[in-house]
Amino acid sequence: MLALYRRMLALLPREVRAEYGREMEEVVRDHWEEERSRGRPRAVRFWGRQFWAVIRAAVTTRMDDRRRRRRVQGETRTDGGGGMDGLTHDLRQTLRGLWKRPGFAAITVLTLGLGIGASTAIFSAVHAVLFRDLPYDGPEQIVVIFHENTLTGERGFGLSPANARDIDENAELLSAVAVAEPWSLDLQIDGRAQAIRAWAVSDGFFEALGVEPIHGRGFSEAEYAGTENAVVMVGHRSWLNRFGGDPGLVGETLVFQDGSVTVAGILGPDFKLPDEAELWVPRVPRESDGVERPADYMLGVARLAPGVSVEQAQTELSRIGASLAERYPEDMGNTSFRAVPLREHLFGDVRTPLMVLLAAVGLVLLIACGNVAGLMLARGARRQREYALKGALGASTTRLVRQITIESLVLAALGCVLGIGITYLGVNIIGHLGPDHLPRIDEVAIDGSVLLFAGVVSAISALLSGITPSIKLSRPELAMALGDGSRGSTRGPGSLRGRNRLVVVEVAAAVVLLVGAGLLTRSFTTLLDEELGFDPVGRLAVQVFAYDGYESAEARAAFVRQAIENLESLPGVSGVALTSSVPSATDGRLASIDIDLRFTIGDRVAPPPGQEPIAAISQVSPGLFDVLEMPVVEGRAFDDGDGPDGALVVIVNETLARRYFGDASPVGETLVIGFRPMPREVVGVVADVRPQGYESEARPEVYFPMNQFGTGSLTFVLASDVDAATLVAPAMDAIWDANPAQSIWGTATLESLLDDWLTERTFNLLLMASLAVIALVLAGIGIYGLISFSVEERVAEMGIRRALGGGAASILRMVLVEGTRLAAFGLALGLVLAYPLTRFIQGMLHGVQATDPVVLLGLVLAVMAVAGLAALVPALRAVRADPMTALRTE
Amino acid sequence: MVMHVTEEASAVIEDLLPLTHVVYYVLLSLSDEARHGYGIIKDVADRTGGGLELEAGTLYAAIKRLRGDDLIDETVGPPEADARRRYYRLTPKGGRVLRAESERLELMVRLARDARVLPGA
Repeated sequence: MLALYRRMLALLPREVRAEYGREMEEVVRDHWEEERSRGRPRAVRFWGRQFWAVIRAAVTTRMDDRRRRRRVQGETRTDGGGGMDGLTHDLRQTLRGLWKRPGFAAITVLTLGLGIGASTAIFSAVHAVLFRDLPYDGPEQIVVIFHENTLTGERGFGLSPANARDIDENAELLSAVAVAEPWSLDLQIDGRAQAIRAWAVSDGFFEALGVEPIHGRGFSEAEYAGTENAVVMVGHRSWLNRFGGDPGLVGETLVFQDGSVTVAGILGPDFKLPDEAELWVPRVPRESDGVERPADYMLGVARLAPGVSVEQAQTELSRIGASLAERYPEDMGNTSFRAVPLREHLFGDVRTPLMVLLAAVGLVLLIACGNVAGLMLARGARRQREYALKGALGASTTRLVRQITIESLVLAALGCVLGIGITYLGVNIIGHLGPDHLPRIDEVAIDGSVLLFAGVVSAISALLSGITPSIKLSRPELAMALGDGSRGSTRGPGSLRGRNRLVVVEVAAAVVLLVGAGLLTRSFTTLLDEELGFDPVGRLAVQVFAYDGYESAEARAAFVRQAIENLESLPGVSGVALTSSVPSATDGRLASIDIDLRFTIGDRVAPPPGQEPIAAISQVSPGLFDVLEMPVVEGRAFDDGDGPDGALVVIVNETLARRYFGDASPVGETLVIGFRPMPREVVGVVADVRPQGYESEARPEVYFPMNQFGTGSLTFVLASDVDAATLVAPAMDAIWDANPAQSIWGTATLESLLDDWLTERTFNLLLMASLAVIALVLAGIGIYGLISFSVEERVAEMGIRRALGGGAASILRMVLVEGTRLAAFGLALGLVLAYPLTRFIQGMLHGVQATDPVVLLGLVLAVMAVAGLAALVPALRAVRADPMTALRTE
Repeated sequence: MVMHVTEEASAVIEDLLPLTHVVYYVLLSLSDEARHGYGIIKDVADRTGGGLELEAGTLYAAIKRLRGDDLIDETVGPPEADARRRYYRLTPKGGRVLRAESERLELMVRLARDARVLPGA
């Protein structure tokens, strides 16, 4: 310790250290030895005080020197007057005052810093993701159009090209309507086909979004019609990464496996729709478009005509939908359209959580301000006598107010500095922890305006609460305050009751936050406990699109057989199967292939055309249920007999069975289903899976044997007993070994697909939970401050109690009860307030009631524990107070 | 004893008041005899009934300041003193400042009595 002390002396000015350093060491050593010889050394306290004294000496000796130099220069002190001299004097006095009471200053600054830092960091994140302008021209005029089921009100996934064309032709309020679908262009690299993610867009897409290329030109009408050479638009990132950022790329020809294309233009850096696309190509209308009118996997976008609101456009869309339903009853009988603002489409599912976070941030800032107010009021009340005395000795009220203003501002400034530090740290942490796919999470930066806001709010609260007690001290009351103070009690704005209320409100605000965070956490863990319906561990999905490049269905089947064989021979792989759509696929790494088909049940009376029930379909190989460990609950799984020549069969999931067959068994019944509906026998029922992660609900599903219902959307699913991520490269090689010309669209372990969702959830929870914890800590500080003050106020009372024979236990109990009683009031108030507020987060809760007993119990325990702890420290101090000293202060 | 001080000197002394309690106690401690650093700490602790235990850092910041203001200076210790230690004593100016501060405090206490803030009058 002494060695450390010697090291700390380096803080002193050099000449001071040279003059007194050795002596100080000796003194400290003597002092410490004597302390020890008395047999009750309190090392932490002793050394803490010694170190702190060195730090103070380091500052005061320097300040002294400066003062002396000035005096030598003949400067005179105009103690107390107005003007700058008075100001520097006040400033110095303030700093000295705070310096002498590091506890008060530290708690105030810490409270302010935490409040400002936490709120600014989180607000910055929210702001970056949610509120900044979209990088499009007139973003509020852009809408995304979806199919909508008029019977259920459910929103579909997108828009079909035929419907987009009809809307474009009939709508007067929309200036451009277009669709875009995922596409890929294959590049031959090292003799193997690599898929470059692209986006095929129909005429009007760039107009709808208001985007123009930064180099080159847009697509021409002839190019959209497919009557001219193939062209491509290159995204900014690919332009830089793949093509070195050379503007000369425009007009160049790129050779893809599917043919060569000319670069028409290069898009700006802000255009990221969708995020993972590298190239954009014109989508040429196809003959099949008319047949596939209900298909809704394409993104539909439109621009509202100037001055048109989304509501007006919606009315028009509904009218067009109704007329299309009349014209095409079979395809469109119960389908209409829904327009969603682009911002809502992009940020829709993050909006509620982020707004909740924002509200939480506000609460934390509120608690911090409350705390500061409480501290300043307490301090003001404590110093009423000082003010009164100064007033009596001739200091003007303005001067007192000025001094307190300066003190408040100094504290606020220090708090802001700490707050900026915490913000900086927080923003960095958020940037690192944030899920990569959260829109624009990489653009999170400290938001200056928010920082300013938080700083100003805190400064004002410090200022108001600092000044109030001093203004109260207008002259007629001076004598009273003096007399009042002598009896050690306080009235007025700094009164105990007022501050009690402040603390109760703080605790209540913290409780509201805790209820929110607690419920969200509970809901999250409840969700994780739910069955997914399949086992993602050790599973790898490799998605290919095998539509082109095969001479016949047989050639494709041969590729598939060979690929499965190659994959099965990989070390660690225990099973390989194929499906057209793997559960949990998102459009990021794996394309989700959602195909819904209408069906009728064999011997029942069919509903009117267009009103038939709908099921999501997938085509699977016989082994899929085994590979994903989806239990077949009734009947049988597919086997090799379910080929092109066998009887037409399907398997349904439990939800479909329950919804349309009730308690009866669907096995043996017939479903009429397919692109060209044909009767197929139900041979089995398989357990439900959640199609899009933990939160999604199972829907009616029909599985077809891949050999009876061919598709080019193929996802190989590998089961293994190793880390599935290590299988990515070998699996891609295995597929290329079967056909080097087959490009691979994407790979993902099933666990990682769920992780995306998990990180986003955990991230939101983490932010919310840290806010709740900060709130609780701040409320704890509030309780601590209040109780310390009231203990100090009543030190005489404590002394009398002790002198009259009251035991330490009774004093301890008295103070603890005081603290926990406040917390209990706050708790009750908070719960009453929180209950109606929970409905705002109802949509984020799954399987948890707002009155969840686990959450409530945990919350009560946490609040009471913090309150107890916060009261314990001053309580112990009260117990330790020497009755005589206590009485003497009276 | 009546002390005659020039007006100028009195202004200098006024300028140094009020003293911080640390400085006051250090001067008080040196008012009856010269002491070394740790001696001051122990003496102040004794005088205040253990109420004020100076840390080395606090003490030497005060010593530096007091020497700079010429209120104390270094001196030889008593014959039995440890030769390694430096002893400090009050200068005449230091004595005047201590007295002026004590008078100021006394006045304040008297005012407080008059105002019945403190008992007795």
